[in-house]
Parts: sequence; structure tokens; C-alpha cells
Amino acid sequence: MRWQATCGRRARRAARASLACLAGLLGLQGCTAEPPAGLVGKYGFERVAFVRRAHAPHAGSPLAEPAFAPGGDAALLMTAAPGAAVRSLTGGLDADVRGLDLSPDGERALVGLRTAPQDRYHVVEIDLTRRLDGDACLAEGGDLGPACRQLTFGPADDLEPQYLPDGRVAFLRQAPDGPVDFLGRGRALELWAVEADGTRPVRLSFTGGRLLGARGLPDGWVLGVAWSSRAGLASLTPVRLDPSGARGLRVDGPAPDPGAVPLGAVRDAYGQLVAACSALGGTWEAGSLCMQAPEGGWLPALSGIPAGVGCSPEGRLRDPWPLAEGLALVSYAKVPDGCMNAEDELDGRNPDFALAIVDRVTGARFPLASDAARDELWPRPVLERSLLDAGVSLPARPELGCATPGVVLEGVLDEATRSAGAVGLRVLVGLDGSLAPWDMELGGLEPATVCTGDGDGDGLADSQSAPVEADGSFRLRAPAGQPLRVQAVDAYGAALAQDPIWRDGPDCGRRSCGACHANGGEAPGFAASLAAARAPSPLDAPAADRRAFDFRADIQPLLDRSCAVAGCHDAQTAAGAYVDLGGQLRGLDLSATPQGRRSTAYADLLSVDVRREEASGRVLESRRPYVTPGRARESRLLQRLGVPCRWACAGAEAWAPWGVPEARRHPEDQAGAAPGLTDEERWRLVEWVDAGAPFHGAGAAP
Amino acid sequence: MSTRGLAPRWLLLALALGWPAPSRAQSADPAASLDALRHGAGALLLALEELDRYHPPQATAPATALLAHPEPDVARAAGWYLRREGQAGAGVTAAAGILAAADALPEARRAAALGLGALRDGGAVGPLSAALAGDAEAEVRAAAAEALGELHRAGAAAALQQALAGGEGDPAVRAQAARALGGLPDAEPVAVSAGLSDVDAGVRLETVFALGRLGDRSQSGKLLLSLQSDADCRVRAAAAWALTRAGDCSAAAALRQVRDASTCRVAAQAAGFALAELACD
Repeated sequence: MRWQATCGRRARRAARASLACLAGLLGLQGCTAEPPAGLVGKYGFERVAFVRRAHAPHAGSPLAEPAFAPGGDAALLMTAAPGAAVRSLTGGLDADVRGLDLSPDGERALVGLRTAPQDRYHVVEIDLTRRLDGDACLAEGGDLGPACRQLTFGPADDLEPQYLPDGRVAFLRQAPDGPVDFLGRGRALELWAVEADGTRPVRLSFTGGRLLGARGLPDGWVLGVAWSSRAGLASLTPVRLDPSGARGLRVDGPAPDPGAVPLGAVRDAYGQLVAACSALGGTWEAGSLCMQAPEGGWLPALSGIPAGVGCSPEGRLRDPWPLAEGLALVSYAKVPDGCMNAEDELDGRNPDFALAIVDRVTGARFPLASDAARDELWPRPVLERSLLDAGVSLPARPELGCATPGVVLEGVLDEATRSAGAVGLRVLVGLDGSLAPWDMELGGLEPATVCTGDGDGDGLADSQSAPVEADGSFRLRAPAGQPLRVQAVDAYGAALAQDPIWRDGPDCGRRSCGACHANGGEAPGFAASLAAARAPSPLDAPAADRRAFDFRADIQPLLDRSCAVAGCHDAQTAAGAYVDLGGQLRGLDLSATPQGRRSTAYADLLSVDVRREEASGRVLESRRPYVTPGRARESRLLQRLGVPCRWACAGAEAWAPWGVPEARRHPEDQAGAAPGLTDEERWRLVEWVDAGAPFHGAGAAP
Repeated sequence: MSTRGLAPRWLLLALALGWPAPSRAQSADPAASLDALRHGAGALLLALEELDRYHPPQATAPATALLAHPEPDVARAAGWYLRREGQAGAGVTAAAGILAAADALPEARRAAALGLGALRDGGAVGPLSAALAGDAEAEVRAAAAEALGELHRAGAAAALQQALAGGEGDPAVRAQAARALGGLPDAEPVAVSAGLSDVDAGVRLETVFALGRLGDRSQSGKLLLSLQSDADCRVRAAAAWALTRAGDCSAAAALRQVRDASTCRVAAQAAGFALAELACD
């Protein structure tokens, strides 16, 4: 029986009328109720673990870096009733905690703990029994007491830890030398794991951006939202990843609404996934309760509290933990005028989150604990639970006992890609901080890339490429533990299609890439394919031979010699004049003249001609630039220059058919012009463009 | 009566009538969406991301103004936006002017320093080095140190090493200098190791992290001393991690001893982790 309360009944009537928003108009905000006796026993727990944090300096944003906010701790509400005692689990008041999880037996807790401004957030495990018996967690001199054990070390921030069903501990890591965030804003936020004793740290995900709200599910997968870039713009992609590394990462349903991004999904007693749906532009991490629809999208799951930006008289909630009978343990907040969003900090109205139980049907709330000076977050009932569904078995971790290093990428190209003339595959390797100590900015578009080697020692970058079988199947072995992206290339070396997501895997892992557009899993038709019957093609160029493109070292010299010569595309002449969409006369200057951090040549090649709306500056009309990063075939530069056949040329046209006809090919190939480009140089240009047209390469000082 | 107080019910009524919800982070007028008097930091951050989709010229001026926003994340994001727009040079001019202005508020100077770091333009090295050496406020100098680390530019390491070696009186600034040096491949490990003998535990901790990130074995001896005898257990634990990064098996014996007998519990845990990672047996 659900508890009854006057305001709950009023709210229920409003919900029944499908006018949940009217609840605010009727003045129902602030509903509170006394729980009936026996509530605690009824739901099987007597204690709630949670985190107390100092109020955030502003209402939050997924863009914000993890800033230290001293004055918090992890705590235990000893009985789930008003006025109940609260015991600090970490002790001390100078700490900051981000995230909390309880072990399946309810005996231990994981927290992301930081104890000093100059330290970092580390994963710490608390022995609840010892702690409640009086052993300390934090000790003098920066030490830990007997009740606590640190699992991660080093200068990375390790946040929101959780237990995995295989006994390991997963957490989100933002490392100072980790991969650069998409669009070059900062460092990526990735899922890592360590063994129960803190050893064998391994990265579980690479999304090229930030992994938001990742949480393990009882089916053995971890569900989260990747905030990364696609075609140079920020995008949200729901992903499932297999923490064992055996099955990799899959896209999980349609892109979420930016106004309702599901965070921290948990499965409820009815088998539905429930999460806090938060708006990118709202009070980040807080929003309303939502649940996953059968087709994969997310739907509102709570009366009275709308998701999204804007004002909500009923407040906002976060960190939901489903209980029985449609109830949920949440962290809930509201402000006096109900307008709680990212603007409230202007008026000093940062939300004060407090523990509560909500009725998902009526929206009625029962407050559990509140500390006006701090937020109470990540509530978890202390009780035994299973991390895995009955009958679910975890796949073996491939890297354990692995005989042949490397991760195998396999699949079957789709018919469209095959009929377009795919003859091979190229693998791009995402540059991370260890490879690129200088931040990468690839024309401001895709995150870092390029996998090239100099296998024949001729000083030119050779693509790491593998063949495609007659039936469109492929199977190759690439370096493990690095973000990889597969491109299907035509006979001219240009990319026809690109894997939509980055993949990485452990040694002996397998990654299926069905037609380079699939969501992972077994590639359709691969088992009976030609490639399945042979050993993987090794792409094992030594790391020392691999290098990234650097525009100034790899591309500009070609332009200097063949293009930016007197009377042509030099700074004075800037040949190729045309009237742009704004009515201005423009030319193509391919000289190395510095222009900000880049050069005039680079800026002119990637410049997009646009016409804008006068008032807002929004783009109304645009023309393709000379170079479209990642798309050599569509880049006017290469279409005009022409590209000769590179692989499988028997029966193929001598020059790429996606270029202009020979008669219109660029003048530099005509008699009397500057020295033309060699075939190898044209292929190098193709690779540079398909790799995202990077400006800086690994180790290149900007 | 505040009009803001009326907003929720108005909004709910509008929603009930099927009106589209207004977007706080987006506006038809870019200048308005970046108005710091109307929007909080969270909304400004998202507005910059939205504007990054089409980079309207009208947003350049308000984005430049945000380089002085007191919220560090906003100042950094403004620098990022201007960099993406190809306006890093103009941004440097504006932010350097704020940073050097004696009458500017410390919060604005700090923001300008962080914005300069996010602009990643070589022209910022001079203004930031000057601020690190001479600004009256420690928080501004610390921001300048952080920004110099973000720049990854020649010349940045020298100024930071100077601050770490004793030219700076505030420990928070020295700690920030050490932290920044850890990301600069041209930092001199010997010069960085000066921070290991700092009186402040935070500086020593950042120095240990920096040496670990630089991965240089030449300072393993000093790191071993920190592992065994630093007064702060956090520093000892960090030293174990740093020795792992250097891959120096000569440290294995000392790590074993710390693992088995250290008075610092967290250092012993870190030493166990380090030994497993080094796998020298």
C-alpha cells in the first residue's frame, strides 16, 4: 500500500486529469507527507547512504570541469524517517565527494573522494562495518584510516565509481594527459576500470568526448550517453558498452533530446530502465524522472516535474533509485519561486538538493533528510542486491591469457559502399594525450586522427590498409587499446564510408563493424564470408613509425612548391578570384603566411563561404570549402587537382571519376606551370583530408 | 514583486496551451544569449556551444567580453569559442589588456588569464608570464600559471620553473606552476624537481605528479626520498605512482618496503599498486 497524504491525493487527481503541469498552478509545490509506520521495513532497508556536497558555484553544466568544493562527505542516514541520525562515512569537513555506490552485499561503499585542493578525486572504498564500529576513514597527514582503502592514484580525476558484476570497479576518469575532448575544449571523460585491489587500470570506453551518466545494468552492459562530435558539431549518442571488452560499444537507440538526457539509468522492479532526464541547458544532472521506451527513446515517468530547461514549480530531481510500488529514492530540490535553472545563480538561488522519496504516479514527495548548507546527492538504500540478472553470464575478458596481441576488426561492407568501388580499408587511430602532447585541432572539426606508417621507409606516410574480399567482407588486426575508426576506401585511396563511432578493444578483442554503419554486435553475414575463413590482415606498423599529419610539415611544402608560386596562389596574386556569397571578391592564397595559430593557406582551404541572416548571423546559405575535412571525394581541391588510381587499378579509370574531367583539371598540370604534384603527393593530400585535415600533428609545437 | 516569480506559472500555462518552451541557452540575438547580466554561467556555457555551430559575427564582441567573466569555466569557454572562430589574436589583445589593467577587478584579471590559456595563442605567453611574475593577487598569478600550462608554448616553461623555484611566495601559485609544468614536454625535470623540497605539501604533491607525467627517470632518486620520507602521506602515495610512470624497476625494493612497513596506509596501498604495475619480478 502506498502512503496517503492530502497533497498526494490532490496531485494524483491532477495527474489523473493528464494535466500534470496544472499542479503548479494549483499551488501543489512543496507537497510533503508523513509516511505510514513500517515504510522502512516494507521496502527492505533501514539505512540510506548518500553524499553531502557544498552547493555548486553555479547550477551546473556538462562543460564544467570538476572543481573542488570542500565541505562535503559521504554519509549514512541511519533510519529512513524524519529526524533520523546521520553518520559521516568519510569524516572531516574538508573533503569533496563525487559519486557513491554500494557493494552487492551492502558492506562496502565506493566514493570519488578528494581531500585537498591540490589533490585529485580518487576512488576510495569504505568498509561500512569498520566505519560504523569507529574506525576512521580519513586520518591525519593526508593518510587514510583503517576503514578506507584508496583504489586509484595519480593526477587524474576519478569520479562516480561503481561496482561491476565481474568484481572490478568502474569509474569516470578525466586525465590531464588523456584524450582531448571533442572540439578541443578540454579533456575527454572516459570510463575506466580497475581490479578490486586497484591494479590493472584499463580504459573501457573511447567516445571521443565525454561519457555522461554511465551506469552498469543487470544485463552486464553499461549504459551511458556519449557527448562527442559528428560532422564537426556536438552530438549526443546513447551507447551501451561491454565492460569485459569482448563486445565493445554499441549505439543504443535514437539520440536523446538535448532537453532530456538520461543519466544514471537503473532498472526498476518492473524491468524498466529509469533515469534522471536532464537538460544540457538546465540544472545539469537534475531534471525529471524518465523511463526508457521499448523502442529506445526516453519518456517522462513522473507527474508534476517536467524535464527540460525553464521553470518548474515542482522543482527538479536527480540520482533516482527505484523502490518498490512505483516509489523512488531521489535527490530533490526546489527554489522559492520555482524557477530553478541555470540562471538562478544570478539571484543566489542555487538549488538545495535534499533526500526524498517520490511517488512516480502522483508526484507526491516525502522528505528524508535535508541539510540547508549542503546538497544531499546519490542516495542508495543499503541492502543486498544482485548486479546481474539470473541466467546472465559475463563474457570472458579477452586480454586475460591473450596469445596474439591486437584487436580484430571484422565485418561486411554494405552493398552501397561495395558498389561505389570499395577496394580496401584504412584504419585511423585517434590521437590521445600520450601521442599528441599538444592539443589537437583538426580544422576545428573531428577529434584527432590519423593512422599512417612508413612501412617501406621511403619517408612518405603509407596508409595502414587491409583488403576487402570479393563479397565485401574484411578482417584485420589493429593495435589494441587505442581508439580506432575504419574507413572503406576506393581505388584512389579516398574514403567512401567511415565507421560512425570510434572503437577500441583489448588484446584479443573482436569488434564487428557491419557495413561500417551497424551498431556493433555480430556483423550480418560475416560468419559465412570469405574474410571469416582467413587470418586477420595485420596492421602492425610499429608505433614509432606511425605518425600524424602536420599541415606545415606534410602539406604546406607541396603548396609552396606547386601552388603558392609567383603569379598564382601566392599572397600577392591569390589566383582563383570569385565573388563570395556576401558579395566580396575573394581569392585563394596558399602561402604559409601566419594567420593566427594557423596559416593563410590552411584558412583559405577550409574557409566556408556563407551568407548570413543579418540580425542573428545565422547561416542562410553556404558553399563547400576547398577542403571538406574527412571527405576527400567531396573536396573541391582534390576534385580540381585529380587523383590517380592507387590500388586495384585493373579495369579502373586512370583518374578518379569523382574529379573534374581531364580538360578542366587544374592548370598546374599543364605545360609551363609550376612543378606538378606527384601521384604520391596527391594520395598524401587525400589521406590528409580523409583524416580530418588536421593542422597540428603529434608532437608538433603549435 | 519580482517578475521572475511569475515566470513558472506563466510558463506552465503556456506549455499547457501547447506553446513551445522557450530555450534559455539560445536566442535569435547572439549578443543577448551571451549577456552575462541576463544569464548565468550554465546558460552562457551552452550558448557558446550553440553559437559554435554557426559562429555569427555578432557574437564575437560579447564572447570577447566573457573573457572577463568571473566564473572560470565561462572565461575558458569564451577563449575556446574565439579560438574556434579564428579570433584568437583579437582575443589575446582584449584579454591581455584586462590582465594588465591595474584598475580591473582581480576576478576579471583571473578570468582574463584563464581565457588567454584557452585561446592557445603564442601572443599570450608574454602577458601571462608578466602576470605570473608581477600581479598583486595570488589568484591571478595562479590563473596565469594554469594558463601558461594550457598554452603549450615555448617560453612558458621558463616562467613557470622560475615561479616554482622560489620566485613565488604563495604556495597555491607554486603548486599551479608545478601542475602546469607536468604537461609541458620542454619542462626541465631537474628544475621541476625543485618543488619536491617545498615547505608546502600541495606544492610537493603537484611536483610529484608533474615528474610522473614527464616520465623522466633522472629524478627517480628524489622521488624515492619523497616516497619514503615525505611528511604528507598523499605525497608519498603520489611518488609511488610517479615511479610507476617512469617504469624504473630499481625502485621496486623501496616500494616493497613501503608496501609492507610504511606508517602511511595510503602510501602502502599506492606502493602495492605500483609494484603490480611495474611487474619487475
